[in-house]
Amino acid sequence: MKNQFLLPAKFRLIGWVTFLLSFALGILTESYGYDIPGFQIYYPKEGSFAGYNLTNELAFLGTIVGLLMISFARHINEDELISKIRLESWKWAVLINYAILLILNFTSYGLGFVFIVTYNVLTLLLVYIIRFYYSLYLLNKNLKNSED
Amino acid sequence: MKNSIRVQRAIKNITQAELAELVNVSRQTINTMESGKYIPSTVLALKIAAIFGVSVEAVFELEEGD
Repeated sequence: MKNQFLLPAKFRLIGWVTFLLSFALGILTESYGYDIPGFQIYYPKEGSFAGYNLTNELAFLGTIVGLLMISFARHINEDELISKIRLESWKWAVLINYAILLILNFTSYGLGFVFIVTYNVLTLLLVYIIRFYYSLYLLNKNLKNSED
Repeated sequence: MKNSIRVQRAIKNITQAELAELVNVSRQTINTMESGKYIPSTVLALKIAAIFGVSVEAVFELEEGD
């Protein structure tokens, strides 16, 4: 089982920390208008300079990278069964992701649609992670139930 | 596909965990194979047969519908 395009197992923990911190930052900046002081880019505008704060970009980046790290971290017992579960979980995630998108297509419109689709970007990874770890949980439960 | 891993293990007197370690997979994989819920790859099937010292056909066989 070589060449599986996976990260070392420790990235699972790093991913969770990155995801939770960035998600918290995202809620802070979107709901409470928090901006990291000085985290700005400046660009020339009408003879002077205008600033733009990058806090929400950082939060979005961290959330996605964190979820990607959790998704692609090698399992401690990575083998062909785990690979199969990974593939099945990706299939589920893609189907559910597009099902949600199509439901949104008919139930929301305009800016509301764009706003929700921003979050739809995360559902692919979230559904994958939930399905993958739920399958592993069932696997371990079956193992405990069956005698050796 | 049917398999006789459980029987072969009993003959060799090794546990699921020991077999798992010998063929470099998790115990869950051996357990799921024994219960018929997982069809192993050709490489894994060959490895398991080699551990038991028999041919692949002695451990794994096709069943109706395969």
